[in-house]
This record gives sequence, structure tokens and C-alpha cells, in this order.
Amino acid sequence: MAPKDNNVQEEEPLQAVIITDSFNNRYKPLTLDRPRCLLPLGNMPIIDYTLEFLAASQVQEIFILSCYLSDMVRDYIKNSRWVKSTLPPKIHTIATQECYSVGDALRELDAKQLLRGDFILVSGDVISNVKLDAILEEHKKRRETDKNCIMTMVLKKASPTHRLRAQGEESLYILDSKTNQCIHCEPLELYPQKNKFKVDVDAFENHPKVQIRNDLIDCQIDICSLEVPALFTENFDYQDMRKDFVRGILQSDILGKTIYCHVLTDQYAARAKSTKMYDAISKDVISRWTFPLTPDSNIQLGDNYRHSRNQIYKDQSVILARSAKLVEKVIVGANTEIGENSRISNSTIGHNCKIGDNVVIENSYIWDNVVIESNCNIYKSFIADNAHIWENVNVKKGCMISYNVEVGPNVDVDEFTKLTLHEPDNDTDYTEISNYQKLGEKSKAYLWEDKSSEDDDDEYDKNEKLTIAMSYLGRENVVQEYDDLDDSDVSSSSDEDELFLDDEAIQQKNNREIIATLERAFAENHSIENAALELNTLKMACNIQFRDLRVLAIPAVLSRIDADNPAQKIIERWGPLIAKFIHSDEDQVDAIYSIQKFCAKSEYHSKMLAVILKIFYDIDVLDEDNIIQWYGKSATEESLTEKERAIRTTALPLIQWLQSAEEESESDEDDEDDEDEEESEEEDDDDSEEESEESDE
Amino acid sequence: MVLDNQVDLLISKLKRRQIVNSGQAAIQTAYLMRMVIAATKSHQADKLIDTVKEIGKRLVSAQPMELVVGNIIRRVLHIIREEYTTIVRQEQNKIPQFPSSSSTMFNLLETSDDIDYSNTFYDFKQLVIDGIKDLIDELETQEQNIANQALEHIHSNEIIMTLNNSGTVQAYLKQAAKTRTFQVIVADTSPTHEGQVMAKALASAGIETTLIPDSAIFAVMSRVNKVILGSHTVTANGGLIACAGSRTIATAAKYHSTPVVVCIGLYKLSPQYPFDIEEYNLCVSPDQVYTYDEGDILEKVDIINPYYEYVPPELVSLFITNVGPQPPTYMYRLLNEFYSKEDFEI
Repeated sequence: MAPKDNNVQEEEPLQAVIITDSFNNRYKPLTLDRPRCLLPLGNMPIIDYTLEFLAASQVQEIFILSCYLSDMVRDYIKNSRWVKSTLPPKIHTIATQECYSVGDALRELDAKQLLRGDFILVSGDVISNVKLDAILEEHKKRRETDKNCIMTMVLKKASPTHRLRAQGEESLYILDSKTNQCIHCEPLELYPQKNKFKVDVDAFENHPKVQIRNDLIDCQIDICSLEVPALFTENFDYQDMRKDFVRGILQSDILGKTIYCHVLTDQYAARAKSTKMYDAISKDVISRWTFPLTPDSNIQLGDNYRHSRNQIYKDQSVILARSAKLVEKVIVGANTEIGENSRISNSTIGHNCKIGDNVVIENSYIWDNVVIESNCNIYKSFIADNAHIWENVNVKKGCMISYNVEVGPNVDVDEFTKLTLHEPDNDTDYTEISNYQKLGEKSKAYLWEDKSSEDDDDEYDKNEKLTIAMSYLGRENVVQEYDDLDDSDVSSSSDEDELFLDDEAIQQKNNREIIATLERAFAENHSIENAALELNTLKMACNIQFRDLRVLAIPAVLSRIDADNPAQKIIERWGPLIAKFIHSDEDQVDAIYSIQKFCAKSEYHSKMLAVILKIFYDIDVLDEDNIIQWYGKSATEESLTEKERAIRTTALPLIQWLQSAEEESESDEDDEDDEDEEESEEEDDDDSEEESEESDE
Repeated sequence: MVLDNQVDLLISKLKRRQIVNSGQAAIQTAYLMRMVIAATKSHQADKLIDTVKEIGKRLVSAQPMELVVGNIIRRVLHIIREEYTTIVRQEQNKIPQFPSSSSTMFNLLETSDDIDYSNTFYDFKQLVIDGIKDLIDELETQEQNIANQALEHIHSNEIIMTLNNSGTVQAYLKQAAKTRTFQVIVADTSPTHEGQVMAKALASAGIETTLIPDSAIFAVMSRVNKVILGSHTVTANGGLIACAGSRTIATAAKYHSTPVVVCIGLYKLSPQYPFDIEEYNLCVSPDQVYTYDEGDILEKVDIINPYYEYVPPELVSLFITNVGPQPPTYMYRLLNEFYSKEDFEI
């Protein structure tokens, strides 16, 4: 049979890409031993929901990209029914090393050249029953009329306070009412809270009718054309799909690419982004919003669930004591035994669990092979595989008890405790519980604290902290529960209602951030350009003035001067950074005041005022006129302290020298060989000389 | 390999609910069974039975709600057993015996001796395949067979009520409309609103059709002469597992002593007895009942959207099947005609 080219093109197999990494730590410590996509939700690994969703949408070929614990993902897929089945989709797992963001993953994909046409891009934690056929058709049609349309984002409609909306991670979208073209996408961060944002006026000129929508959940199901990975390769600084890529494309006039949205109203789609979302999605699965992806569809081999009244899903092999009660919204997995007088509601119990007598479990997620002895209470918590809870243990809300941990007997586990078997290493990520009494005699566990995230260089800002804090199971609401967020989650500030900060507090926050940015620049030896860019961005974000930056940057730079690092070295290195924030003569004078203030504060630096000013003068940050002006002015300035006045006089020799130098230079202007002149100036002058010579000729 | 592929395909279609129509499910299962028989190398009846049972088990567990799949498997097993015993009898006696089919009552008290299914007969497989072919023919023509009886039950100027969009009922009414004039009232069948589709189809066939909301069923019932329903499956006791809303209409009809006529192909008759009637109320996504957009309410309200519901046999007056009209009390007898007792449990 001779292949006909036309036919071959038409029947191109539909491909999908799953990126299993989340690039954040929302599920830790549960994800220390198992990647997020393999965590069970409703007693089935999350990735199976994603695969089932894609398979039901007639996807022929799926690429699973994983970095973190990629071996486990590969092994799981290798032994799963997907590979054994003779039906499409065909699944390939690709382990990517050194992959820190969606951007990296897509660049890797682009390099491999595996994709042949439009593809579906999802993350490994999507749970959905959407039929993509219609959306794909829509996308294809659009591509015919608008060649520049490179992506269709699938968004789900939900009220702004919906339990599926991850606070701090959602965005506000501006869509064209007619075509659903996405015009603008503004992330809604918890901090700093914005009351306004800017949109290009052109947007409104081109689109007579727009909708501004705050009722859309980003399901992170994207229908992408081949240009998308290519664009990621071209723009190697794109990291996040939404924050960088979508915004970048929408704001770029040069590329001229367009992005459309498809708003789902009647089908289900969500991402298990955090433990709180995991909770919400589990409830939706139990309430059958995800139908046919419900436990009683027995998608996994070996399951035999039956659905009965009050949304109870019980495997046929469950052994339930006569007086045990499954109240409502419960999933109980195969071969689990539940003892007398136990009450279980709104929970999922995994396979092969043993639950003793008089146990109360509410709103919790208990995975496989867990043993819970008699008289335990478990509320709003996670208990991972093979954990053992001894008698009379009271697990309070928000706990995460990781794999193989043992707790008890006769103890209370405090709220939001995270226990793991991972040995604490020297990074002090973990705090060993020296006092075993606290978790009971038979306990085997280390306390795990979320400190690793603080090592993150970028992005780990206030918003991230708040978002994470909000994303844990058991957190009800930003305002109400704010005061019980633990210190490690939020910040050192003791402010109770930080979300409604007064101006002063906001300023303090901003200051802290700027200083942190500076510290990082010093520590990592950033170039002046990069550091300045970063600070400028912060300035925009925090809505502050150059003066504020200067006031903070000057002390930060000067305080690095010590016996090991002479003033000359430090200022020559970082002085130009300060110069970036000085734009006029007034600024210069103001900067000198700042320097004066700083020097007055410490004994060590107080003698160095003149030296510091001299160096700043040398590197051309400060002009002699302004220094002289400052000297004159500060004599009469009343706001200065005693100390500041005192050190002012130490600058006298410099002033005298400057004045004399000025006179000198005035007297013979033509003399270019001033030793003190900066090199660049010399060059400039040389250039001008040359030019003039040329023009003479 | 091809066979495995086909089995997997049907299983996944059933699981993903890509086949919801019971007629479709039945025909596809029958075709698959024909492939299974053809692909089995052995000519021994017991091997065939084992193979069919093994695949049958997988299909049934794929979607336990879809009882017709199990029915077809039982029918195929029955065909194998029947063909085998016929051959054995012929071989043994060479005398045409009185057919000892279980459909008669003569052997009611007889202990069925265990038949040895291990002998091999030439052409046996071909006979089974022919049997399945007949079954497929039956499945494909049953709708027409039922429709052909329409004139016996629908009279001129009658008012008939129905709901949902059943293919069998639609064909039945359209057939009657060719010679008789009558009125049809279709209930909307919220939340699927399939009644609207039915009303449109009937109206375009020239039948005087009225669409009413489900809430008006009882009010309108006093004017109705006959209720004609379709059903997803029929249980061993003559009860229905039909689309949600059927019980409302049947109860209203009972109150007004209006006869309820159910049109079904006999492949829908299942030997399963509805011990737990709620088990068959397959609940689908509550999406059609309430939008997911309002998050706060979802926390506090359980929304349940059953797709099927059980209608007890007392509410049904008559079944119109492809082998003629049958009263509900007689359904259990028909079971013995189509299935072997040993296959009731697959």
C-alpha cells in the first residue's frame, strides 16, 4: 500500500505531555519518598487519573517527563496496566536531569524533537473528566483562521471563594468576550495585595468587548502547538508556564502570538496542587463530580468498590465490625478491617489497613497498610503507607504522618505536626525528637520542619510563604486562621493580622525584602546590572522611591567594610550599584547624608567618612560640587545628631583638597592629566579630542 | 493479540462509559464472543465454556451496572451447552428424542445429571458460531419485531405518555403512527432532558406530541390511556432498571389505574435478582443538577444525581418483547428459556 501523504497528515496521532514535577514542596514530607503524582487520591495514584483522562480523550501517545524520583515514576508505569494493555495510549517515560521548572522540561522536550503536531500539556496531578475532543476541534479551527494562535488554556469556572481555588496562585484573566482570546493574565498574589494593575490601552482598542474575570481556575490543561516548546527554547529565561510564558507572550508585541482560553462550565478539572486541594478534590471524587472517575468505576485492576447511600464506597473484601459505622463520604479499600464502635466520616482509608476498636476518623486520608490501634482519634490529617498508630493516640488537625512512622501509645500529636523517618541531617532541616516521651514509648519518628524552602534563592517571597501556609490541609481561611499559622510558615513578624498591614508595616516588609535581595547579591556576587535590575523590579513591586532604595543600599554596602575588606575594594565593587539610584545633584547630597548617618552609627566606620566620600568621588558617583555643598549645608542642618555633627568635621581635609583641586582645574582647564580623574572620563575626553581633531581635518 | 486488543477495547469502553446504550453493549459483546469462539483453537465444549466464562467475568466486572453484557455471555454459554447436548443425544441414541429443553415443565423435578463436556465433535464450533450469528440477528431485528406488534396495543385517538429517549419505544410509536392517529405526551426527563429529543423525533414523524415538565406527570396522568416505557434492564422478578423518573411515572399510572407497558428486547432480561435496589441507582456527576461554580454550597449540600432507578414489577402491567407480550410474573420462566441454570452466576 502506497501511503498517501494527505491521509498520513490528517491521521497524526494525538500526543500529550505530562510533567510530573511540581517544582515546589507543598506535599513534603510525604513527597520525600514518593513523587507527588504517585500519591494515592481516592486510593488510586493521581497520575492514573491524569492518564485515564487523556486516554478517554483518545490521546494516542503520552510522554511523561519526570525529574524528581523519576525512577519511581518509570517503574510504576512499567508495571502498570497502561503498558500491559494492547490499547493506546502508548506511554513513554522520560527522565530529565537538571530540570528545575516547566520551562526546563519543555526545552528538553524541544531538544528531543518527539512531538509532531499540536499536543496536550498537563501536569501530573490533573484530575479531570473533560472530553477534550471538542476543545481540540475548536483549537484546530482557530489555528486555521489565526495562524498565530499557539495555545488554548482550559479554565474552569468557579466562584472566587471556591474551595478549589488555591489562594495566592490563581490569576485574573481579561478575555475577549467574543473569541475568548486571552488579553491579559494578572496573577493574584496574597502578598503584596494589589488594588490595581496596568493593561495596555491597545488591548481595548483591538477588542471592543472584553470580560475581566476572577472566577476561573487554571486547570493547567493546555493545548499547545509546536511553537510553544520552541518559544521556551528561544527564551531560555522562561520558567513558569503562566507567570513567564503566558505573560511574556501576551506582553510581547514582536512575537504577535495569541493565546485563547476555553472556559469549562459543566465538566470537572482540577489540580491537586497542595494538600488542601487534595482534600477538596478527594471530596469531589467522593461526591462524584469526577464521574466516571469514581472509585466504583474500579479503574484499577483488583479493585471492587460498590457505591452505596451517603456516598460510601466500600470494597467487597472489607471486613467491617458489626458496630462499626461508616457515616458518610467514605472510601474503604480492599482487605481493610475496621473494629467495633469505630466511626469514620469524610475520609479515605487505603488498602490492607487495620483499624482497631473505638477509633474515630474524620476528614483524614489514610493510605495503604496503615495500622491504627484502638481508641485513637484522627482529625484532618494524612497518614501515609505502613504507618503505625498505637493505642490512645489523638492526632489533631493538619498532621502529616509519613511512611513507616510509628506513634504512641497514649499521646496527643499537636496540630500541624509533620513526622517522618528520615534521619535529620546536618542542614538542620529536621529536628530530632530527643524526648521520645512526647510521641510515646513505641514511637519511631523525626519531626520534620519546612526549612528547606527558605534556602530557595528566588521567588521565595512573602507571597510564596503565605500561599504555602494556606495550602495545608486544615487551614480554613486566610483571615480567620491567620493567627495560628506557625512561625516557620509565616515570618518573624509578630503582627497578628498581617494581611491588613498599615503603611509602616508595609514599609518594614519592603525594607526586609530589599535588604534580603542585597544580601543575596553580595553573597552570590551578582553583576551590578543584575542586582540593579532586581532592585528596580522590587521598587516597582513595592511601589517605593529611589530614595528608599538608596537609604537601604548605602548602609548595606558600607557595612561590608571591615578589616578584611578595605573600603576601597568594597566601594569600587558595589559603589556603581548605588550610582544606579542617583539621578540628580539633590540625590547626591541626600546620599551623602545617608553615608554620614551610617558612619555615625558605628565606631569603626566613624573615622572613615572622608575616605568613603573620597572613594565615591574617585569612582565618579559623587561630584565635588555636591560634596562641598553637603559640607556647607550640614553645618546648619538641625536634624543631625551630635555624633553626626562630630564626624562631619572629619571630612574637612577632603573638602579643602576638593576645593583646591577645583581651583586648580579651573586655572588650567586644558590640563587633562589629572591623576585623580577616573579612567572612563579620560577615555571620554580622549574621544572628544579625537573627534575634534577629525573635525579639524 | 487481536482478540486481546478487542477485549481490552470493549472493557475500556464500558468502563469509560463510552457505551451507555444497552443495545450497543449487547451487540458489541455478541460480536466479541463470536470472535472469541472463532479464535479458540480447541473444539472441546468445556474449553469453550471456560474461555467464554473467563472473558465474560472480565467484561462483567468492567461495568457491573451494565447487566446486558452478562446476559449475552450467558446466552452464548447457553448456546454452547444446547448445541453440545443436542449432538451428544444424537450420537448416543440416533433417535430423535423429545427435546428436553429446560423451557418445558416436564423435567422440572428431574435432577440434571452432570454432562461431560469434554468430547470433541466435528463441526461443533461452527454450530456454536452459527448460534451466535442467530443471536446477533435477533439483537439487530428485535427493535423491529417489537415495533411490529404496535398495532395490537395502540388504538386510534389514544393518549400515550412516555419519557426519556428509548430507541425501542420510538420505533414502536413511529410504527403505530403509520396507520393510527394518536397523541403522545413526553415528560422532559430532567436532568438529561432526553425527553426533548424524543419529542422532537416523534413530532417530526408526524405524531401529535406534547412535551411536559416532569412535575406535571401526575397532573396529566388522568387523561392518559397508556404509559409506554423503555427500560435499561429487566431483573429476574420482572422489575425494571430504567432511567431515573420511570418510577415516578409508573407510580402515578398505578394511582390512576393507567396500564404501564414496557417495550424491551429479551436480551435485557437478567437472571439477577435486585436484593439491594439502591445498588442499581447508578449516580453520575451532579453537574447537571447543580453547577460546580458555587463552592460554598458544595461543602454543605450533598447533590445526588441517579441515572437509573428500580421500578418494582407490581407497577408494570405488560412487557412487549420480541417474542410477543408477556406479563411481569412470567419473566422468571423466560429466564430458563434463554439461559442455563449453571450460568446464572458467571
